[in-house]
Amino acid sequence: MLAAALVALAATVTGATARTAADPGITNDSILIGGTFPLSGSASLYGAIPVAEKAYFDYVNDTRGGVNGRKINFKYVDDGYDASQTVPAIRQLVEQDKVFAIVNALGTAPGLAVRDYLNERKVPQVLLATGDSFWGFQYKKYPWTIGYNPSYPGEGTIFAKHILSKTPQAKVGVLMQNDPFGQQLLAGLRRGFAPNSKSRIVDVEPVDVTAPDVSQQLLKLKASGADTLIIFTTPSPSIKAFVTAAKINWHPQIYVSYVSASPLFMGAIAKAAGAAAVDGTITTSYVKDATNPGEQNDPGVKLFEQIMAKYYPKGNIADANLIYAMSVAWTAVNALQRAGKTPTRQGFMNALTSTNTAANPFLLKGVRLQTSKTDHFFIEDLTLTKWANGHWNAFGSFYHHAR
Amino acid sequence: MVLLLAAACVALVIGSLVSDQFAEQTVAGLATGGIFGSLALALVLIYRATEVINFAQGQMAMFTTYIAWQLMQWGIGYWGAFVLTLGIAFAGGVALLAFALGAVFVRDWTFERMGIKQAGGGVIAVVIVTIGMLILLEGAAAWIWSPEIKSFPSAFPTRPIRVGGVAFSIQDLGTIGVALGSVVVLWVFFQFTKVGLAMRAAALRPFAARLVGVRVNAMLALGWGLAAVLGAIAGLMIAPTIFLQPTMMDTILIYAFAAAVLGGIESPAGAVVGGLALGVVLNLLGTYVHFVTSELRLPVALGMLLIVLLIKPTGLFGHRVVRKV
Amino acid sequence: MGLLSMREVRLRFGGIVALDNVSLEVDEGRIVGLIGPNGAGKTTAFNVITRLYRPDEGEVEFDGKSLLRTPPYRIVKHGIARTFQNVEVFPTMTVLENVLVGAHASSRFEPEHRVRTRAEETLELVGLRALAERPAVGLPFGTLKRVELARALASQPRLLLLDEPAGGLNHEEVEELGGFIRRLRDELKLTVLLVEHHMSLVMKVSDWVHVLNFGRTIASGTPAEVQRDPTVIEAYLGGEIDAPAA
Ligand SMILES: Nc1ncnc2c1ncn2[C@@H]1O[C@H](COP(=O)(O)OP(=O)(O)O)[C@@H](O)[C@H]1O
Ligand SMILES: [Mg+2]
Repeated sequence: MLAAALVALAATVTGATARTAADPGITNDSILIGGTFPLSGSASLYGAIPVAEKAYFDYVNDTRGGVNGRKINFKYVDDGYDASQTVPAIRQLVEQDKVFAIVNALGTAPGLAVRDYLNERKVPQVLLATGDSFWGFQYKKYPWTIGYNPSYPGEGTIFAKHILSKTPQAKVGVLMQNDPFGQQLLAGLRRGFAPNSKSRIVDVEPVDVTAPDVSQQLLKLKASGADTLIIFTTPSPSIKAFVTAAKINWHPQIYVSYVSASPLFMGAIAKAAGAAAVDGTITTSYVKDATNPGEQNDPGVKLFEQIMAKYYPKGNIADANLIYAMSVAWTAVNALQRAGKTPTRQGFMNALTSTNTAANPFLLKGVRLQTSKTDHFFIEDLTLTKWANGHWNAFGSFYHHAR
Repeated sequence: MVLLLAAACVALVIGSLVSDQFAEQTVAGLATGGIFGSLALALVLIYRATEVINFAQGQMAMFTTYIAWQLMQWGIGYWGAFVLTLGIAFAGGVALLAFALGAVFVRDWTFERMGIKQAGGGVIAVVIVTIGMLILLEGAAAWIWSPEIKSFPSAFPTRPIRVGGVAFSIQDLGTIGVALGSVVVLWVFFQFTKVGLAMRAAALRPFAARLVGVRVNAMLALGWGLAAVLGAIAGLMIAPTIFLQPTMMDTILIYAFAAAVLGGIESPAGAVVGGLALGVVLNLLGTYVHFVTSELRLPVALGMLLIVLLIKPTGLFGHRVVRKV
Repeated sequence: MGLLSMREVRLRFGGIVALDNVSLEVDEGRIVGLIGPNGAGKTTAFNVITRLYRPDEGEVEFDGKSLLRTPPYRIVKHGIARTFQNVEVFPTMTVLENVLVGAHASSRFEPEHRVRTRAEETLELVGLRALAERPAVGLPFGTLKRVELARALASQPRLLLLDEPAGGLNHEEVEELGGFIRRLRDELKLTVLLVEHHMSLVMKVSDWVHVLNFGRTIASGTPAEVQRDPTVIEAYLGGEIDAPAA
């Protein structure tokens, strides 16, 4: 009995080793990658991201026959932005669907919930759609994990630097989302103001992401005498903040995190509360703005619009998340091409951690994707951009090394 | 009770005269509180009519607000869309009750076919239907209109008016006005009209009401319809500030629950006062009591609720009604 | 042919036969007592007449027309009103509002102020004018019985079903009630079906008495006949059924 079991076991083991020529998800003519996204629930406005990514992969499959003769299949599943749903969803992708890698999965908490699991199994968890700086800093402990978005503290620091150079006397009020996202942005801002951050920041008002309204916080910020408002919140509270500021007749210089600065939202606010509510607002940027008339002839924007028209006609061009998504898909394809004739997970990680290119057509000119074994920060080049005439207008030079 | 409220109002007025910030925070709190109150009132109407907590109340409000948006997209003017939406909301509320009762009927009928008599638990079944509706409406809104955030026009100008040194938002004042206005209209309806009286009778003692000629099921449906209309008004009033999103009413509904229970779940006046009180207290606490940060808002609201219920288990305005079996 | 007639009505709840072949006639302009020990089926008979229960077999006719296809909310339109053994007033409404709900049952095309006057007059009739604006909740049981009576009367019925109207009343009030029920018959030309445990009251006011026990008719006759009936005396174990006072 025991002997029979041992024989059977040996057979399966040898059988398994004999077939390890290719990593999971790789066949002769296809590559399967996966990701989790909030297709439903409170963050479902990000649900268009994987659709745009799939559109880009389809475009690559149709025009170039995929990567090294393999078509890219992208399986994205809903986790409702809820880590407890991410865990089974990722396990399903890894164990049943046998994906090659998890690409651009969205959200900090969902990402953290499966980071140990994926690293234990040596499954690439890459190009994550979140800007926490620890994705970049903890590369030693989690070699199979790498982020994509610019770091939140990095953006906070850039705001501080700009204020110091342009309006050093500014009295800064901060509306901060009451979670690690908001805290990291605020920490970056304080770092940028150091050692005088106490005297520059006159008031910080925390707000819950689910708060029904932000009038109390905005009234307090206004009463604090602040002349500059920094909005470190996700889209929903950010929009409420813009509208409420207009409602209470407060017109400070506004800075808003790139996370909430989609032209889609800005346009909607202008429509609801008047152009004055948003004009002059400053944010950072690294992706092109398809709504900017000045960039209409840009080849990257044209390609984006072409792919959208053919593969995702229902998508809204003004949604900055879509061109962002294509920039991610481009980066993934770029790394796959460099991952070897028959890509392995290790080869894919090696390619991702040795990226050095300024050719991503969907990113602003001047943004260089640069990584190394010890640099797990993908995007560190950001420029400031100002809202006027219904679109973003980049100005000044790039800030580098935003972490 | 009334004395306590009067004292609170006087305190608010005095505070507002002394401090501009106090005045602004109070008005802003009343505006949000008015929204909580309208939705709480909707919950109370349904509870009184059918002893059901309608968990889909927030989503119904959200969905009808989307309908208003859609009508405006099609070129209908604001007030036209407003009135049409209220009509659609009414029909939707009636339909939801009909659907829920139908589901219970089908279930009982199936059970009877299977030889199981008297399934009972009609109220629970209807509550479960409302929870299903909540999920369904949120999904449907995202599917029909996409989950993208959309702006929504306001009935009132966005510019503020100045009284002394204080800038009041016309939108906030308008919201308070509409919330209170709809409450007064409802009160008059229930107090002084034949149908209003019949609705109250149907909700209180359905059998007795039937035997004095009240069409109880029609009255219950009317109650659900009116509740849906109130929800729609709340949605239309809040949407210009918080924008359209399938999840827009999720937290607001929690506060509305709190307001309804605070006021005494059977008392319409209590629901409205509870909503206004909650809005104002939360704003003032957040402004002047520094440990009440935004993450503590909800716990504080629930704490208030708990204290009120400990002192007065039936809520601020609740009567103890003894029911025989 | 009576104003109301139940013919061979059967109704069972699981194992219990609540009404077993009950036939009952109520002639116009009469007061008919319906008596029997607890659980005899008296309230159930009321519930069948008012369509809250559907009989398994049998027929119920009012004014020559079958009631079995009439929904409960239309019963009052036919001219039948009732009170409840355990009072079913609308607790958070005022006394006047309670009566108004009843008054609306017969108020088609009648202007609201007239309906109101009618409700107030009905309150006057039952002696509750002074309590008109008081909420019903909190009033004594006997008073609530009168509120319910007023609500039933306000719907201007031809047939009034009274389920233990003397419950919660003291001796004097019971006397008064007897006189009142007679006035209803004599002055308002009402027909009354009266369920009551106060035998003295039933025997004094009734023109006819119908006795149920375990869902079955055990006697039917004038008060004097019924009181002498040995089966009736046995059903009450001789205890409750006293000779009428005077
Ligand atoms: N809804 C019901 N379900 C089950 N049994 C009932 C129901 N209504 C009445 N009964 C039964 O029918 C019988 C007659 O009750 P009822 O008419 O209330 O008696 P009475 O009014 O003469 O005291 C009793 O045994 C009672 O338990
Ligand atoms: Mg009885």
